[in-house]
Amino acid sequence: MLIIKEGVSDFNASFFLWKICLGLLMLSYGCNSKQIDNTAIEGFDQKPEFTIFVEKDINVENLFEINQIVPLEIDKENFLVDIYRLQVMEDNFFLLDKVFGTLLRFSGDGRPMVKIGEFGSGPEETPDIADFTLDRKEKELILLSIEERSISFFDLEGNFKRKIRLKNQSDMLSINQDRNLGMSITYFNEDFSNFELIDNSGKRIQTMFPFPQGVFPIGLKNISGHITRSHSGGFLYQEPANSVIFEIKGNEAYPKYQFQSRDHMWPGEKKHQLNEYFQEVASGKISFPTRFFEESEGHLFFGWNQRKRPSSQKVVDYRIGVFDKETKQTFITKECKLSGLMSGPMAVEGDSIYFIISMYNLMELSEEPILEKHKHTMIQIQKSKGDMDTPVLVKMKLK
Amino acid sequence: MKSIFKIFAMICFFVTIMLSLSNLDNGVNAQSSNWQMPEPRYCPESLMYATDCSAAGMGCITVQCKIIIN
Repeated sequence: MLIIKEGVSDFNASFFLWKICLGLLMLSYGCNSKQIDNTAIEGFDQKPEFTIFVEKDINVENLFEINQIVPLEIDKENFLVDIYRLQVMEDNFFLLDKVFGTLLRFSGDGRPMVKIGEFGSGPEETPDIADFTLDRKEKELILLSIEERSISFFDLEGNFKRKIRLKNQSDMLSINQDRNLGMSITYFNEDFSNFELIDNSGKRIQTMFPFPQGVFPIGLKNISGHITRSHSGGFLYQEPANSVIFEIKGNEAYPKYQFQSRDHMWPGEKKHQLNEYFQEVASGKISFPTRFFEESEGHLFFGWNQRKRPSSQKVVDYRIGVFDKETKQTFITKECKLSGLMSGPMAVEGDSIYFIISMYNLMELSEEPILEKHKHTMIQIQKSKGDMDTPVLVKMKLK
Repeated sequence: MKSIFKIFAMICFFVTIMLSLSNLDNGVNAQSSNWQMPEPRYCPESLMYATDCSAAGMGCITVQCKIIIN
């Protein structure tokens, strides 16, 4: 009997302990599930739609063919040296040099059509052009000033239309099919977010991509982080130091492309450790997607920096990459002078991809197999254009 | 006893005011200053990265020192 009583008492004790354990388990599950829910709201817990595994490299002439070489005529009073953004619309080219604050529109054969924006602090002027975007529906050019915290609207002939003021310091700009504006905002903002979405009148819709308050601010816009339009009419946005490109459709973001490589890459969970990321980049220790990418219907074109080889002096090794959305295959160009020079901005229109190279650099590459068909054109250009610093637009297609 | 309580209340009041002002000050700085961050770029001639201020003459085509405007 005593044995039975002891057994019952043991049973009660262990049942009580089980209840406590179960309670703790439920409590812990409750806390965890709350965390997951939070992440789910931000849309960052989903798997990326596409994984871009960067491994296969092929010769640039086997990946692309050059269709057209267009030298751009630059007036003496304008400077286009370091192109920050290139856009193409209806056979017109738009190029921005943000250092000189020059935004020029060119015709399809490279003639300058108009300079957009007047320097100054007046109501129709802008003290700088940090970035610009094209409203294809309304045929408007939208200029962003980082210094004035403003966005100015111009028609394609360069006539000023209106200006709106911004709350935050923004450094990159794009527009979606609803004509809402997506901006990358600098680390000096009280919303502690990397991305702000506003409507066409300047009214805030929402901020996205939060960062922790103690983040060390370093501007990586020459290295990493980009915003552009997606083929489906949304935004493609990459935070600095992150190997994931998000698509923002309406008010929601989801991871669309994730870059992977056998080489060491900067881990996603350290994306806010900007200074440490830059130290790795500057010593050539990591492979990473550069700040340029553009999407077409079937492909993602991207810049890629391969990590430094032990025998190389250079800490950069720029390549051009292509990801095929249908076959899920990725190719990057082999190390060559041309892909090194195509490290600047790119534009995609239909199935063509555009780059800017200086005339001087292009002439140096005249013996490259990819330029074989264009030797005669290049000689003609060299004869007619005296200035070797002239930017040249190179139109390419996938082979 | 009453005066000790008064002194303690005064200290608490001042600490609260000080903390509020220090928070307000940070907020104003972050909001109103045109702060500019170091923006490193690759300089092809020097085969290295440099921030805008230190990159002058190191192969960067156009280099401007960033000015912090308070």
